[in-house]
Amino acid sequence: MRPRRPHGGPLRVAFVGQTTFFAACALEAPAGGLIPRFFEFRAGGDGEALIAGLRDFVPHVAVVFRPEVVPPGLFAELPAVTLGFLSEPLPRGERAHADLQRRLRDLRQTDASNFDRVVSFDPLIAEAAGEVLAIWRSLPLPVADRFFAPVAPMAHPPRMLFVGRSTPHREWLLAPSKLDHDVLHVAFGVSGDELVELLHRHDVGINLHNENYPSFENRVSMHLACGHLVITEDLDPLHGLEPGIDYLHVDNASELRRALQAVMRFPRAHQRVRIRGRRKAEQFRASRVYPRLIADLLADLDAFGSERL
Amino acid sequence: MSTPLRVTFVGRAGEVGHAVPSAPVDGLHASFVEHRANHAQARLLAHVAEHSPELVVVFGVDSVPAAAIRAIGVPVVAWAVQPDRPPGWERHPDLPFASPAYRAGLATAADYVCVIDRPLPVADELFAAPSRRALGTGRALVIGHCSERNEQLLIDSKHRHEVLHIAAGLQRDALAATLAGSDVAINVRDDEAPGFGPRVGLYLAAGLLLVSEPLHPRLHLRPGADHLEIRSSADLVELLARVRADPGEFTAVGEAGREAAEAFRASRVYPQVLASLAET
Repeated sequence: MRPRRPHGGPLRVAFVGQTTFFAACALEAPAGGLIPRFFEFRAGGDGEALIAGLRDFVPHVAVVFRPEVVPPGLFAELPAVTLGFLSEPLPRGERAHADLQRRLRDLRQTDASNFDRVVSFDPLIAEAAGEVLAIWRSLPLPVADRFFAPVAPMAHPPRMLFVGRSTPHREWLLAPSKLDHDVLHVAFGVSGDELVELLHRHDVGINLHNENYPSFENRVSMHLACGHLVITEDLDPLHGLEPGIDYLHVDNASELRRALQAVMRFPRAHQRVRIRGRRKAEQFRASRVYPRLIADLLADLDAFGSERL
Repeated sequence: MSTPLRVTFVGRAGEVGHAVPSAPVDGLHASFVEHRANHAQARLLAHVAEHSPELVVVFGVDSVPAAAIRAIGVPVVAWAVQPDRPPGWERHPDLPFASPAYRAGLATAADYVCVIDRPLPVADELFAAPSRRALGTGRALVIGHCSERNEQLLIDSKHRHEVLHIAAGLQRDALAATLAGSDVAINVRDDEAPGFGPRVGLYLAAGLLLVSEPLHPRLHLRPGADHLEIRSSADLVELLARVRADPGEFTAVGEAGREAAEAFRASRVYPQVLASLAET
């Protein structure tokens, strides 16, 4: 039996995922009638330990990042509403990059019966994901509230940061900029308070795709929330952001290098872009997104039910 | 008491900054000039001249133009260091390395008074107290760019253990803070060529338990005694699991590693190696 939804009372919401990547996308403190708790779970993780932890918390709702890594049947007996949140890019047509095809193969391992509803971070992957799971909604990954900060004055010299694993595509784009500037490249392993502190010690956030295919990485919204000047490859979808107004768009290594040179020479030149980007980031704020999302989820289940239970 | 030797070190702070003392050490007054491949020769010469050195040490034999070496009016020695660059930079059209003319103008060993081929020393201020906090209170640290080879060795451990990988740009206070927040260091090579690694001394000096592919040469270090050796991704996963499960088992190795790091202490190495060269 699912725990009865308290009439007007708070809902316990479990967020499940690999802390390194997804704690930054979760609700971390009570807000909007939700009481959150984060549960670490990664591919190959201990499913029984997760279930034991969830049973102790007795959530009304479990939001599960990367539903494809959850073992088949794990949530069959879990008395909670389960919402899968797809976070990985997928093919958008027949001629897809090999990396995207690999991710689709991973997704095919998903046990759809684990989830009442599934959200995709990108509406443009819904068709590919739909082969495996019915996509209920699409919205960008939210940003935990603690990342949000006012736009601070640029340091002299401005401090530039790229957080993301190294790939040939990224290194190719970063190479001239790394040669010219002290770009801090954190390839793996920063999360939680340390990630927040790291971000708040920088002024410029760089976003590059894994490989040469379009996407919208949540690091964009995270950097915007921190009040950074965001310099990114082409974003698709834009999720309401406007290039040149909320962030700077670059197409290649030379443009990235020139953009960073301009920032170094004229640190205040893009102050308005930072302010606009920071304002737009409010649409990603976890305490704003999740109460609405979960209210919609429960209303949808009330109206249309679920094949899961 | 003799006057300290004024030595100017030339290199890139993100790669070799940890080898340069920020304060005078025994018999040595060190200064540092940041030089990158796209910096003009005139800039390099002007910055070196500001420090009026008696000796210049260039990190990386081919990291500066040969003409610059000839224009510096004091003895110049090279300290052999492999550049910390991701694979493929030499083909990148936006980088100077892609230009045959640029490469032809770079210094070779013949342009220097001598080439010092030994591991990078470690600035004294980066040495941790021997009583640094115990194993089991931090995470594993990797500093250096990614390559296909080193990523294959690291990937499983990254997903099973707490591993921090900083690919570029770590220096000064951020470097010290990152070292202080770690208890294990992983040293893996970019390619199959045997080597020692530019940060082995740094990791040991910072009091981290060093987990490394076989070092070549080993110098005075002894696998199993002052560091731990791995040869595969599976070795690394298993070793990190053992360290996390029973840190006490490795305390003695960590302490011996910290003791072995004394051989890399800048205030010990530089006077011994450089004093006679200034008179060349």
